Amino acid sequence: MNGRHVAVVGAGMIRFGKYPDASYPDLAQPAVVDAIRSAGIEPHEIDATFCGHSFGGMLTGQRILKGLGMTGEAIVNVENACSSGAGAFHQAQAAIASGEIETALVIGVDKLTQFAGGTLPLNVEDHEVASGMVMPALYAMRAQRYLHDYGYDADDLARVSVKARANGALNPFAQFRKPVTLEEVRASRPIAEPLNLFQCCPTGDGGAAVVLMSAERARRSGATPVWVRASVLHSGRYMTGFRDFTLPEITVRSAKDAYEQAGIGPDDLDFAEVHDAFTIAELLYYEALQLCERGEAPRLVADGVTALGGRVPVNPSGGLLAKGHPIGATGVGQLAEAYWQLTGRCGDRQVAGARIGLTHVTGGGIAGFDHGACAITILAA
Amino acid sequence: MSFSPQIAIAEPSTVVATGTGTEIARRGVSFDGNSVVLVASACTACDAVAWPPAARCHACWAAVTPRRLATSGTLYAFTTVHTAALGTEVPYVIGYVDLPDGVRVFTPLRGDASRLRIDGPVTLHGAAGAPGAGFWFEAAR
Repeated sequence: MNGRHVAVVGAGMIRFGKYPDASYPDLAQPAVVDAIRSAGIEPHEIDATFCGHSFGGMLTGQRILKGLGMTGEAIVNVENACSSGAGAFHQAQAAIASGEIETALVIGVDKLTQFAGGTLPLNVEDHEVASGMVMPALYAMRAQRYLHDYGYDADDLARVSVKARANGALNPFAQFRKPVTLEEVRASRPIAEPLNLFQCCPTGDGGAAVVLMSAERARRSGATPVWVRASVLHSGRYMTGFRDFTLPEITVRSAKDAYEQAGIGPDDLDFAEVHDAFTIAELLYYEALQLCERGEAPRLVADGVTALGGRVPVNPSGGLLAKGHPIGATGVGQLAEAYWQLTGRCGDRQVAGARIGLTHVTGGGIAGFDHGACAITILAA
Repeated sequence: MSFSPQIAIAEPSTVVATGTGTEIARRGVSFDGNSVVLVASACTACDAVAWPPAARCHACWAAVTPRRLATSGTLYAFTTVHTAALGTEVPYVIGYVDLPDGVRVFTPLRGDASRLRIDGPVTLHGAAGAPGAGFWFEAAR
C-alpha cells in the first residue's frame, strides 16, 4: 500500500431482499447509522462520503445523508456497475491514505425492484446489448465453454448454488435463507442454457456501509480496526479479437496486483467473498484468484475446500447467489462481511480464526470487455 | 530541446453521431442484392481490426479503412436465452463467431439449433429488412 495505513472501523447493512416500497434513503440510512454507531463515532466526524450505486439517479448520496444531518462535507457518487460500491471504497481509502482526510463513510446501495422484471437493464448504446446480450447469457457462454474445455457437467455448476444457499441459510443478512438440494437446482427453470434459475443471483434491493479511518485516528478512537492491506481497482482491457472465456483477464490482473500490494499469496487467505453472480463465475474466480490451477475449480467445491469449515471458505455470507446482489450495494456488503468475519462477529457462519480475507467484485455488460470494472480488497485483522 | 505543443486557436471538433447499439451494428453490415457481408474497420497504421467499424482506430487513433470480413467462421460459444430484458420475445439463440480475420462477432443464431456445436462451422446470412442489425449466422450445411 502506498501512503498512510487505513483501517475499517465499523460496518452496517440491511438484509438484502425485495423492498419495492422503499426509497434509496430508506435502504441506505439504517446501514449508515449502524456503521457509524459500530465505529463508536459521531456523524460529524465523517470528513467525506463516497456513495456507490448504479441506478439511484442524481445525488443519491446527498439524498441519503440529508435525513441524517450529515451534509456540508464532500459527498462523491460513484458508478461502476457491480463494482460501484467497492469502487467507492477504493476512492475513500485512497483519500485517507493520501492524507487528504482522516475519516470516511462508504455507502453501497441499489434498488433493482424499481424495474418491472426481466434481466438487469444494460445500456442500449452497446451493440451487443441491442442485439440481445443479457448478463445471464454472457455467463452462460462462459459456462458452456468451461464445461466443454475441461470436461465437466451441469452438476459441477449446480454444486456452487448448493454451497451458497447452505451458507446463506446461516446469514441473517441474506436474501435467501433456505438451503437447496442438487435436485432442486437441476429442476429450476432454464434462464440461459446451461444456467437455470437457482444458478443465478436474485433480483433485490440493499444498502450497506462501512467507516474507514487513518491508522492514527483509528488508534485514538477505540474502535476495533481491520486493516486495508490492498485495494485495487481496474478497468477491463477492450479487445476486438479472440479472448479465452475461461480466463477472466481483469480479475487475473487485479488479483496479482492485490497480492503484491498486501505482500501475501493466495495460500494466506482465510476466506474470500467473490463475485458469484452466476455459478460459473465463482469457479472462474477460484482460478483467477489462484486458489487452484486452471480447470480444477469444480473439485474445490466437490471436495468441500471452499465450504464453511474447508481450507479456504469462499462466500461464507452466501455470496451473490444467496445473500443477494443489489449491484452497487454488493461490494460494500462484502466489505461489511469481511469486517465482521475478521472481528469474530459472524455467528453461525463465522470462519474460525479468520485473520486475512479478500473481497472481489466485477462489473460487466459491455461489448469487447471481460468486465468493465473489477475491485479487489484484502483486509487483515 | 523541449516538447512543443501545437499552438492554434481552439476550435470545436466534429461530432460523428453513431447512434444506438442497433445502428452501430448496422453500419457494419453491407447488402448487395441477396448477399450480405460484414464490414469492419481496419487501421491504416497498425492494422487493428474492429467490428462494428469504428470512426478511428481504438488502438492508435489513426484513420481507418473498410475491410470486408469472411462470411464463415467457427462458433466460439452460444446459448439459448429463456429470460431476457423486459419486453424481449424469448427464447432466442445468440453466440460469438470467430472469423479468420481475427475478429469475434456477437450474433443472433438461427436455423436448427440442434445443429449448433461449440467450435463448429457457421455461415453468415442476412436480409436488408430483417430485424435488428439485419444479419445472423447459421450452422454450416
